[in-house]
Amino acid sequence: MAHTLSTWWRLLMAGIRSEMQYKLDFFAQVLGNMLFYAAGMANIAIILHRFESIGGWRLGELALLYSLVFLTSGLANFLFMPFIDLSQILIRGELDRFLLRPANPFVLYMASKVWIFNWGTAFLGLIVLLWAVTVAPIDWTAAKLFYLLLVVAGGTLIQGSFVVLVGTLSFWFYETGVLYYTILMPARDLISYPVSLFPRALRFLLTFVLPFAFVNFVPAHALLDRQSFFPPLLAWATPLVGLLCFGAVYSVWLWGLTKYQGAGS
Amino acid sequence: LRGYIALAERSYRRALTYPFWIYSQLIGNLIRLALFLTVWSWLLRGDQDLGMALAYICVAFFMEAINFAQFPWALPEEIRSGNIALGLLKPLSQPLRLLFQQWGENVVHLMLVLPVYAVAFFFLPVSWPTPERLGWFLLTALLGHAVYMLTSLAASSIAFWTMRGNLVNALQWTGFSLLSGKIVPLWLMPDGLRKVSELLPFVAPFYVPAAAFSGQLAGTALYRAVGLQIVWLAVMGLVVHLIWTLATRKVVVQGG
Repeated sequence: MAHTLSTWWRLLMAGIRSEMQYKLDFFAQVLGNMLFYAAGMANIAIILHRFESIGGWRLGELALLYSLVFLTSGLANFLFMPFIDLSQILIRGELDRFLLRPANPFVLYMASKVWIFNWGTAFLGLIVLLWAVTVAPIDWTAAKLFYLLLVVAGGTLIQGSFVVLVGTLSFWFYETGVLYYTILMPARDLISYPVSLFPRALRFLLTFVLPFAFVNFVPAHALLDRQSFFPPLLAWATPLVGLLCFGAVYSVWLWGLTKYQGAGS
Repeated sequence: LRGYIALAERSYRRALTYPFWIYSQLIGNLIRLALFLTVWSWLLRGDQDLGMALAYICVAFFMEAINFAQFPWALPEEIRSGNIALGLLKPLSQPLRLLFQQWGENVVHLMLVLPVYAVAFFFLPVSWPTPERLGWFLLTALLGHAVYMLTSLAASSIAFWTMRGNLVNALQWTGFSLLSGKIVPLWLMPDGLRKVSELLPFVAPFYVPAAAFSGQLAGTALYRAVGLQIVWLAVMGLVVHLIWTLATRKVVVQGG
């Protein structure tokens, strides 16, 4: 385990160094990505200029929801984005390279390319989150502060699990990486708004089947002392849900590896 | 022109070859339209103009599907890899080739949003337009689409100098996200922002056709908006022409 982690860390640092070689490009990418999400936040602010709340959630609370989405999106993409291109790797038989080296292939593959622009997303998410938690009506306790850190970690794991999953499905199907753009991004749009607004079936789906709501909406109830359509204790379950998702997806990856046959020759 | 149409047809067929993309795109479209309609139905609950606003949201979303361009990703890659030289050798206009290839793909995007609309228009209290408004919608949608494609192409063509996707692209994208009326309708914006937005090219592909369809834009305001669309079309056409004239003179391909 220690060996795996130190391998991962060194690969990650090497990847970051290689991306940082193009300084101007690095800043352009990071800044461009920040603009993308800043525009989303600005749109919410513009809506609230005219209306008091969205679904009973005011500016500070919505900023809390939104910033958690893009902070965890940025972190999860930064860590796991190579999986989106897994189908290409499988077609060309290039996974062999990762299977032959003396370390965990999952870790070797996830650190094989660093998408540095995700720092912009994560950085902006952090800034908006820090602002949101001062504006939103939160009665701070030590437990809540600690839980917020766990929510970011758990949310990153939930989001990361879905990124890994869309790629890993390409062991069985063709070109599943597109699901990142066609399903995952719309799902992130969905949880940028209070899940309680949606029809019951969709609420259920987002909470209990594909647990995106645990990234922000559900744990926000613990921080804000709110109650909603789910048992109150679940609001504290984000880290656990994150671990469960990741464990499940990692098993799918291991199962997929047994299906891998290379590209022949 | 036959050559361009053949190119469009090829990219149309290529887009249709990925079943995973087709079905998931359909579901994704449904999710996003449902999201917008849910949020705005809640915000405007009890408002007597709800049907009009929902019609606006539907059309703005529709415009988003046809106003789609891969240029920000595809063009820098062609330039960086040097593949652009192969295109420049052929007796085709490269900006036109890029446009036609994109149109082939956009026909598929169009096919993937239409069923979503069938659902929205049948099940929700969306108000229907008069034939006159429908005519104005078609005209403004066409003009707006042209403005969108040219703006996107101009911003992406900066890659001749930067070799990568660039900040001009990001700024353009931000403009279309914030000031186009595709997420927040213009009449719900703060006054200052609305007045600035009306003059910029970003409203041409989204707010103008959607508001012409739903009826918020009519009379002199509509004529003025169409006039501005034409002005921006001319400006962007000129910019694209200038960039490509300058760029093809300076393009240097590595090796050989």
